[in-house]
Amino acid sequence: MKKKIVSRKWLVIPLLFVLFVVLGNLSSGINLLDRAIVVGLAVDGGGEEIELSAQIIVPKNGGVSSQGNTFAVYESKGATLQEAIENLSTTIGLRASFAHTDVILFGSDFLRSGTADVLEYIFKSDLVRDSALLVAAAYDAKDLFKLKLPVNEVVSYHLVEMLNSNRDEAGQNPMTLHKYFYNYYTLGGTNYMPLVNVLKEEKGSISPDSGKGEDTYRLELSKTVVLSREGYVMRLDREDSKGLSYADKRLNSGTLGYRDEDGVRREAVILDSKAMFEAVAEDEVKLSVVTMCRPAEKAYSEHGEQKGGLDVGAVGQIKGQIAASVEACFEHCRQKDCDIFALGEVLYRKYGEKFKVRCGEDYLDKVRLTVEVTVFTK
Amino acid sequence: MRTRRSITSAEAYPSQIAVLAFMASVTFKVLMLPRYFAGECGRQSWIAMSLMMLLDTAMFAFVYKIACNGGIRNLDIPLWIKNSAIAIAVAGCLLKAVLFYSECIAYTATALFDEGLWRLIVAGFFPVLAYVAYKGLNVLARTAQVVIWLVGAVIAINVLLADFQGDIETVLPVVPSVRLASACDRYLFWFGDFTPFMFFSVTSSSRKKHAPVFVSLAFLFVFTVGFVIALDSVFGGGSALISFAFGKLAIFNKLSRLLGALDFPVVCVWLLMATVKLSLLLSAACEGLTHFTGGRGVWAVFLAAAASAVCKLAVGNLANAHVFFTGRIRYFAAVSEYVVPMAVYAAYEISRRVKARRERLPA
Repeated sequence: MKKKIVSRKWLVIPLLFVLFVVLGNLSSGINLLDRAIVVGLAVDGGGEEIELSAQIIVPKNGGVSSQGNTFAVYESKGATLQEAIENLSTTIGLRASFAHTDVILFGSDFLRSGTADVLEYIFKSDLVRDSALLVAAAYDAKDLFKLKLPVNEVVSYHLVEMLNSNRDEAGQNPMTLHKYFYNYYTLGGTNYMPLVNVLKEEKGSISPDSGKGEDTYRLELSKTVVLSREGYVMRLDREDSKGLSYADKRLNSGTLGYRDEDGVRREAVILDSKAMFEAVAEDEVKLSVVTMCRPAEKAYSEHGEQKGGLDVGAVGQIKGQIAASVEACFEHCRQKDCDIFALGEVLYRKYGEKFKVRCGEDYLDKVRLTVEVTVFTK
Repeated sequence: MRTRRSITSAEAYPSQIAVLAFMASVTFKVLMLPRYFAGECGRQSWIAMSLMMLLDTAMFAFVYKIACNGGIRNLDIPLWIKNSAIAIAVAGCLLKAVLFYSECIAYTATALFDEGLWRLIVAGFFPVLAYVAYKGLNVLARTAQVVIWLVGAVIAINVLLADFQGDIETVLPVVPSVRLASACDRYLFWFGDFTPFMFFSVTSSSRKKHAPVFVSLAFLFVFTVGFVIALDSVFGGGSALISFAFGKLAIFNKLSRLLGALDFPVVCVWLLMATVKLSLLLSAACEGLTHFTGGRGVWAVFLAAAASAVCKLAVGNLANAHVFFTGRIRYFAAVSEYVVPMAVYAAYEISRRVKARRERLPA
């Protein structure tokens, strides 16, 4: 039998070689140090031009260690977000990589000009992760990156820590990229974002170092911005923001005030709170909030015995407070024609076209919300 | 002593067909189709997926029956029916290969590389597809049997680490509408994935061995419909903006906040499935063409090269592919994927009965 010079199986080797060379060329040899890793992005402007600010990591020690890295802020402009991003890479001198971007800040002018197009571009192009947090700034978003914070000086990380920790606090209403689009496409399409409030810190109040040198600031996220599909609508104050958080998500942190039998003002800590919407009629939705609380301080009787839980009066006050803040939030948003709790969606899911026929396009004026609060004490 | 007959390149066992059928159908239904459906019929996309999957499952019964009787090439049916059916099915396979190849290249270009160039990705895929298409169903089936464990492992990890934060009621209310029919009609090319099996033959010694095929089909239905429901529950109407749905698997698990924690295995596993699917289409086209003229190796190289060239030169980007394959050409898919298998099976049954009647008649 005639023996082959080269067995067929050996042909696999040059085949793999060709494959690796071809695919190897695709990576263009870009490594970690040739990239500008953007950890936070601020979007300002609106109208004619979009202004971008990026807080980036400049890795030290070959980017191996998370310690000792320095951070820098770069700015760019463009007629579109894509152009601004391209200009950002040119400004930095490295390719901007958004894979580690955990927070996107929006300036107030930009929010007023409408966010949907920019966010759609970001979402569609997989520019950042779907779990990236969206935050509204009271003025220009880029100014936030310049703040000197005493606890964690990297503003982006600080915001992520505040919003992404295991504590879900009453009054804080985090918004992620994918949740934004979930809400955007519901009936009514009302959205929200936490609003960053910047408070000037008294010198030395947080750490001894904060008293030295330049002014330091503290960030607060207890207010919320409400958006329609077209853009900015209104701000929710602290109480309304709390109302939104009671109705919209599961909480395990936050406080509620009450007066005890002696008229002394005390606080209760929220251990767990959850809410459920239920369509009970074609124009009525019931919201059930179930909250577990405990007193913030231990109370003692005249005989020195420790009192357990909250008394009936305190529970009643807490129930009233939760119901009042939820109702106030709903009413304030309704006045601006915003269906903040997506009640239209709840009703449409249960009653379908019947709901549309009954309530029509301006359903919000016809829909009633009843709030039922149950408080357990520990 | 019982000896096992060695099987040819166009033969496979039922367990292998079960694995291949799952991969052939699921691969491109969980990539861009959920987005297209969400854009077309919103929260009812799961109903559209369910209806089309039921149709596909019913169609598999005809295709599988043909494969169990030796494949279309060995069926005892009039030659003109056989030739016409093979020609139409081959054209259908090639059109689908171009569509799915384009999706595969677009996914690879964006998910694995920074602005990966189509020509380089095509150059990478071409030899692999040509080789596997040349080797035929037997090699494909064995490859699928290896790959399915990786697919299963990735799905299992995602299920075990599940942290589902969606609202399943997003898919309500269930209201049949014209948009639903429009979605099913418009995306015909993304369905009817079992026609290639007509060209192959199933080797089995007992009826019991067919059980894996039915289990696979049931799992396929649950997985594809369940995936669309899960995606809509998490993203709602935002599903219409998701380019590559399968890459979003990580959103369902606890590691979604850790960058790339499960993304890379998901991408790799999908690419393996895509390679199997594309090779299956080309391999079926090769089988069909060798019915008319020999030279299987030449056909394999030519078809892989032609599909690559069409993707790079004529299609160019996904938008073009979408416009073309949702145009009037989609009715060709209805013919090649649904009418042809039914017609072939009907012809086979009629021929068989006529033959049986003739044999019973006295000379």
